[in-house]
Amino acid sequence: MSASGETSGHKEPNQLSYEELVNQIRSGNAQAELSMVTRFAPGLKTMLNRKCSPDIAEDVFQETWRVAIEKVRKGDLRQPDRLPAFIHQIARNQVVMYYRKNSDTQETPDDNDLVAPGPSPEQALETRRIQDHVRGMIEQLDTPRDREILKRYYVLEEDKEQICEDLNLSSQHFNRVIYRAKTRMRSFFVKDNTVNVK
Amino acid sequence: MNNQSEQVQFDERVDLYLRGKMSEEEELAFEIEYLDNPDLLAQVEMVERLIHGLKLNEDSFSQAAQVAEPKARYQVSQQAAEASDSFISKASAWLGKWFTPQTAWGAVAATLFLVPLMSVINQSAGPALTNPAVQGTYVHLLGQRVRSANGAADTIFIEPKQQNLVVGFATEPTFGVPEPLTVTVYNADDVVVWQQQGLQPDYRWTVYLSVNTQAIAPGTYRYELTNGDTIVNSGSFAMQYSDGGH
Repeated sequence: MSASGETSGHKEPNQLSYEELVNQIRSGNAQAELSMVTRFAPGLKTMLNRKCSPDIAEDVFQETWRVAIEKVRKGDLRQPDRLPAFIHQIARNQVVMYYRKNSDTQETPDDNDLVAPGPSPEQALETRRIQDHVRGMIEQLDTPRDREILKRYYVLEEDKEQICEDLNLSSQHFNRVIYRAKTRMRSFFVKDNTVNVK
Repeated sequence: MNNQSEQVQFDERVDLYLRGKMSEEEELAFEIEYLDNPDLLAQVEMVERLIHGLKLNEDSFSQAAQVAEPKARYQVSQQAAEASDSFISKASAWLGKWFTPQTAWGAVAATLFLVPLMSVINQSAGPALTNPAVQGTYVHLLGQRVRSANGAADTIFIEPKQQNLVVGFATEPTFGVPEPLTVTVYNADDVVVWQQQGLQPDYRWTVYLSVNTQAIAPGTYRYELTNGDTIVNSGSFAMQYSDGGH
């Protein structure tokens, strides 16, 4: 614990350079390990949730940190300045390993009868709130054409150029609609404080 | 005033990432960057939820799902839809020789064809955004227990007056950009009663289908999630009225 203060001066853990963080973990500073996890955990969760179901993502998340901390302690990370890429690669490997390990049984935590199917009450509430907010946002859009822009761009994942051509729109108009949607979404989260937007 | 003076900047790469338009290398680099960039991560989470919200509100866009319900008044067979599309495109091309913009003609043609169709649907469904039945739409997730040991089909209980139902289908996580999926629902006679294409899984690898319960009556059904010719997931479910299920 004391190593933290001595080697990093008065820096906050999230202000440490990757080299400082790695060196402290190598020297056995448990606080530095916690700092690493705290610093990279939100991004890692977002990334894993895009690649796996929530239950699997949680398992892979835990395993990623177990492996990452072990490797950093042992000095397996030879380029500390590449710490985020190192963690990212471990996470990707863990996802692959998870599916390899479970491919024969084809069993996932979702199959467990003790686990309630569907989202947790918190997730269901959050989903409902987002749904309501976005519905309100759609209703407030100026024209049906603006709704179509959002649908085609984000839901149907069509290209901007194609949408602009089909709807006879300027690039500026398109950008304005997307910008407004994002701004309204952002203000919702600022007000709601559920995402740390600045 | 405050809002106007505060010009928020959004990173354009966020859209590319979440819409799956990045190459694998770009995606890797972007993920590594947001791992230790809270501002960028916040934008990713915000737009991710915006997209999720838009998908949950697909009904609000008055999107026409492909419905193939035998005996249904608003049945639109695929051949008829294709014929209509073909006619509209031919008519638009012909009219486009004289008039621009073509979008206006497209809107007129769409209005002529869709308004009668919508009016039939609205007799039962009502306006999507204000109908309390829609706001209280019941969401049922299928597919998570398909491979369970007992192999029992999921049962969806609906109220007799309930007109809308959102059914979620669990899919297998994949690396890279998720491919659009097609959900096909067959009745007990193996006749297609509902099909929708171009469905994208959300961040929990679930695709959602909004179903009018008048098109799918109580009974047993099987479903297939396909990506091209590949079956991603399949299973069966039963639909029952909650007060008449026994």
